Amino acid sequence: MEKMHRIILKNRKGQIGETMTWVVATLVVIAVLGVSIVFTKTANPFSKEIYSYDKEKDFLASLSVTNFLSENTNVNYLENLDKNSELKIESLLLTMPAGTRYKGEWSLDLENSGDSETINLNLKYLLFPEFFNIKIEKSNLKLNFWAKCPTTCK
Amino acid sequence: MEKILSVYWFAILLIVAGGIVAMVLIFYGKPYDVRELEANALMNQVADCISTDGEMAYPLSELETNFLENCHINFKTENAKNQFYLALNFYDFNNIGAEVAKGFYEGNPNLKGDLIASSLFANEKSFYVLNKDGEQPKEIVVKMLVIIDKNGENA
Repeated sequence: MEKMHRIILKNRKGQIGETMTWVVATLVVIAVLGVSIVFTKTANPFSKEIYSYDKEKDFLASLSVTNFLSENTNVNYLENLDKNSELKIESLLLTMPAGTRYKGEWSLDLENSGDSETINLNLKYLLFPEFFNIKIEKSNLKLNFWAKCPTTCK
Repeated sequence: MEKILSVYWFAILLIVAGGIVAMVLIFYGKPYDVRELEANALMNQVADCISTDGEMAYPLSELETNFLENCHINFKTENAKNQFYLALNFYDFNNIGAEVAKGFYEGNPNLKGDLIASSLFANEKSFYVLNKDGEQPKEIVVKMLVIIDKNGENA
């Protein structure tokens, strides 16, 4: 009787092994699907909000700067850059924040007959800034302005 | 044994298919929220309309009159309730707190009151423009506030 029982058990070892394989495979499939579903749900919270990241096409920033340059006294300010004109340009930069959700700032690099000066607002919150460059040339002036945003300009 | 395996395979197929359907529903089930783009497009249109060659295209005192028609803006949507609010304010560039002219709004003013409590989209931007309209300051900053409801369509 004992011997018979051992034989039956020995014969079932293959079946048990195969069943275990399928059970584990099923658990793996469920786990992979579960992780995928959780990942889809959690890793995608903001992706439904479509933002315009490309600040090179920031119409209002370009409009502000070109409007500013259409006034000759402002061009003179830029050509004879001193503390007052820097303050004026900083005021201009303050009127045009970059980004919607995370407000960034524009900086302006001014090149006049070989001399170069960068003007920015020095807001110290930029850990991983993104940069977008826009170039404008007027008479001897070359303006290069760019946006810096906290992590992203969206 | 083969019968059991067939049933098992169908069960696995159903689980995998169900999982894929769930993921697709989660990913595509909500509509895309394009209100930031809408707000930007609206503000660009307004700025383009009221600023020409660096200057205000209209005198500040006359800007409010037929503003939407002049700027070719239409707030009509498929909803009966107006889904947009646009406010314009004008400040002196050299004294940014000082208003140089009375601001005005278009669209649904109730949206401004609902702003904190609900998930409306709001965006405020400004731009520099020259004003050649006599007594008022020459350099002004135009501030635009856009609020868009459209919660059903976007969120």
